[in-house]
Amino acid sequence: MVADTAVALVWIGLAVLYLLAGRAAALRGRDDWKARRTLAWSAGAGLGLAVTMGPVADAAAGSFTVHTAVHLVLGMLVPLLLVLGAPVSLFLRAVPVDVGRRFSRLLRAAPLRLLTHPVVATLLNTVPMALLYWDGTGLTMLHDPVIGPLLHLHFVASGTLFTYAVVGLDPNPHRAPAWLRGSMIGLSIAVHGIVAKHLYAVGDRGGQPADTEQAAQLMYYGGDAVHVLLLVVFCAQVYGRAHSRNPSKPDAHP
Amino acid sequence: MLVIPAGACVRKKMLDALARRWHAGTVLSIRPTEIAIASSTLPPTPASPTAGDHLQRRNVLVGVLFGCGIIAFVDEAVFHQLLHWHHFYDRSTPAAGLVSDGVFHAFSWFATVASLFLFADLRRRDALSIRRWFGGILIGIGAFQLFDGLVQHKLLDLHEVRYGVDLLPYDLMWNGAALAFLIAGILVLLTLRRANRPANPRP
Repeated sequence: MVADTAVALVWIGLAVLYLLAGRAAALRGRDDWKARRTLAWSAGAGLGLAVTMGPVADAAAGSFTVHTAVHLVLGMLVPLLLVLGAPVSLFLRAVPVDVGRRFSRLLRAAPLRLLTHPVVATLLNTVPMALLYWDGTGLTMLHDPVIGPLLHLHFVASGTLFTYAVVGLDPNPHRAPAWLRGSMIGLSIAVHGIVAKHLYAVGDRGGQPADTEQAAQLMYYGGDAVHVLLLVVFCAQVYGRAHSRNPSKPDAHP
Repeated sequence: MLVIPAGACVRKKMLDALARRWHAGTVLSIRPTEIAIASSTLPPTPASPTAGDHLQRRNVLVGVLFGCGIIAFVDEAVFHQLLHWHHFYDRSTPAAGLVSDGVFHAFSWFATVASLFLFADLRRRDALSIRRWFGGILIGIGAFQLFDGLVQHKLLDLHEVRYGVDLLPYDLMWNGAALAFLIAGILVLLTLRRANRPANPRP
């Protein structure tokens, strides 16, 4: 099928580009790239591929519960893995210095700065999700041949933006303070839980998919499972940075 | 008129500024001399009596957070999943209950993870006091469960302890247990304070 092939090419392309960038960086003598970053990126692309084509995608077309699982993976787990792959850092290693400088200047542009602000990124990530799943009226959009794939794209993009804004490893010229990033993680967990329970509550109304209650519970507990990963990454970063700010041993800081 | 702060304070600020620039990705602009000045002149240990008190109190706070996380987890695992006493969502729940539940869920989930990292941080600073931490846990469990039992269950009408039964004994047990945990935690901390006062007076 044409659509499946296109989807596969996108995900495989992401993985191949990353590996090529790693090779280019190594040719420039920067070969100390951490394997866990490559692993995270490849896992993200692989998971994305697994849930957007083939048997899982077919099952999602017929079941709201499977569809919810796909959105959890695309909107939360894949973005976390992609962000942990630190693609921008790898890109900067792979290109000549002047290209890197120009790119860094681009990153500092006001619109991008606004977009990657944790509050803006959180709103972009949670508001469309809340509107779509609040009372199930928007669910018909999911199976639209045009809007459906666009929604998938939106979930990956806004999820990645949010994850970068709160726990991004890549250079961020205006990284928000930890309390703000932590609050936004807390806020998005709360919104996720509230929307899931509200969706559950409207599950017995007419016109809803038969498995709405099951899907809402999966959204709630599955969301928790990925959120705890996000929390661990966030806390580990703050923990590590607190140490580099106040080293107890002077030689612990390189 | 200018007030010049103490040397250590300036150095601390310099180091903080360096750390901020490091994380902002603009570390290339740091001159080596800045690092040399800031890191070489930092006092090795910030051992002042106020810092010690602060860390002692933090043991209690970390325990309270962990206690909130534990009891929220027990509530979810035992009463929702295993016993099926609590409903996932009571359809009569008003909006305020839904929001409060969401916020407290996020808080307890965050508290569980953050408190474990804070625990590691206390260990790293050699400031861990297991007893204070334990007292904090008991207080956290009691306070969170009491809040759940009184505000969430009764005031906000989120869900009841169990359905289809006479609620009174269940509510008494729920909130009684909460109160017992809370009092036990306070007693642990009071005992500690008493034991520490004559034997180990603060310098």
